[in-house]
Amino acid sequence: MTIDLAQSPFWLVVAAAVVVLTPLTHGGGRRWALALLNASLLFLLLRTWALVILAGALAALVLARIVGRRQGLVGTALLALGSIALLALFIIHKRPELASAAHAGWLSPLLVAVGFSYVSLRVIELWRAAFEERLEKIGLAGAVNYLLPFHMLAAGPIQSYDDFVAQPAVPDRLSFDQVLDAVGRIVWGLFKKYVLAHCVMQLGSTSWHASGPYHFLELHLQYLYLYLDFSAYSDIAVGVGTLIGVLTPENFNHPYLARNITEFWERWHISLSMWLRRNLFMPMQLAMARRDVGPLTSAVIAIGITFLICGAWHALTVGFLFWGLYQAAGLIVCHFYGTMLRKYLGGPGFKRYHANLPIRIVSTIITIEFFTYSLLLVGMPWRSTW
Amino acid sequence: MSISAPTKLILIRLLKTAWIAIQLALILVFMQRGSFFFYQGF
Repeated sequence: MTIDLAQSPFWLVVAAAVVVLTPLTHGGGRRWALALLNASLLFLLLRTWALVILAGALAALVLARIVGRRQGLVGTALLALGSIALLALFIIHKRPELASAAHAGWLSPLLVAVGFSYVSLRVIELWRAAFEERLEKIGLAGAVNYLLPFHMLAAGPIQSYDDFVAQPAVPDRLSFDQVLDAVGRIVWGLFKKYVLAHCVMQLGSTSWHASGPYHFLELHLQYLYLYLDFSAYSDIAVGVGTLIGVLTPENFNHPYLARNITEFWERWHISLSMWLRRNLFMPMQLAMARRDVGPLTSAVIAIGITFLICGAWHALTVGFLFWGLYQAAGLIVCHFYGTMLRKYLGGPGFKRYHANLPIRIVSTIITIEFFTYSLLLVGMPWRSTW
Repeated sequence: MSISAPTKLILIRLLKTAWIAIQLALILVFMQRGSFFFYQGF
């Protein structure tokens, strides 16, 4: 399914959201108005099929409520069933040919339209909150707003459940400068997408027909293209979020300046990295610490599994599984190297090492090269990520 | 020559607005050349 956002109702809903939400000062009214706006984009995109998506959000909320109330075996069993259903939908989303074989091909366009990879991560956060008895009374409107935020549907960012419930019911009124900055952010995102990323693709892409040194240059240009294209969407989402008063996390922080791959993942697709840290890496680390697994062994296992799943989340292909393992290998080497440096250089020596400009420049270049070559593993086509 | 704070604020706002206008103009020029938004989903 291909949606031309330039002509899609997205901007209509943005305009409606600004007009409707800005004067609302009642928390409940605002919540329902936002839910209707979120649902309206679904109806405009999918017509009556949007009801299926909304029913899914309701089912996710009902399951969270049941799990939140019935801890123990029943809660765990329900959560397991829900997780199997979520995984099945995820596989259908990633491998639509399997859906067609199972006569469920009608589901694929719906899952694509809502960006199901992102929705599934939000559902997991919701269920995890329920399981850990942190579930707030968010209601149907809250569930729709959390699971299906219209401005974060296509390519994130992924708002954490805790951030979602912690944001004020009625945001502060924006100043003129804040509005100007938000509009500037949206336009900057569009400029990156329409002008900069487009120029990089038009001028640099040979669709991998070139060989020799140009092949490597094309690889670097694709990294640049990916950054411009993906971060553009995040700029638009953050700008729209600011205008409509919905907390929207930053997703990029100059990843090309990262001095190692650990820092890179703190700067690239930040909301995904944070999700992986909250929901996979930290729980695994804690579980292993309780079983007296050594810190280095547990770090290797937790990083390996986390990034294997990260690869699978991007695409259910062998290439992306290897891509995840490649990232994990880089992170593990980085972890060991950092531990070793701290041990041999000591505190002051490590600080001097960090402050050394030539080392910083070389490290940054190595990090860029490391990530760029990972694109070889997945045979990334030149196309938009959203 | 020193610029007063209110003048500085107005100048900054004007510059930001001009930069937005320039970007919008370029976006419109590039949009004439075709459609770029093809959402593949993730």
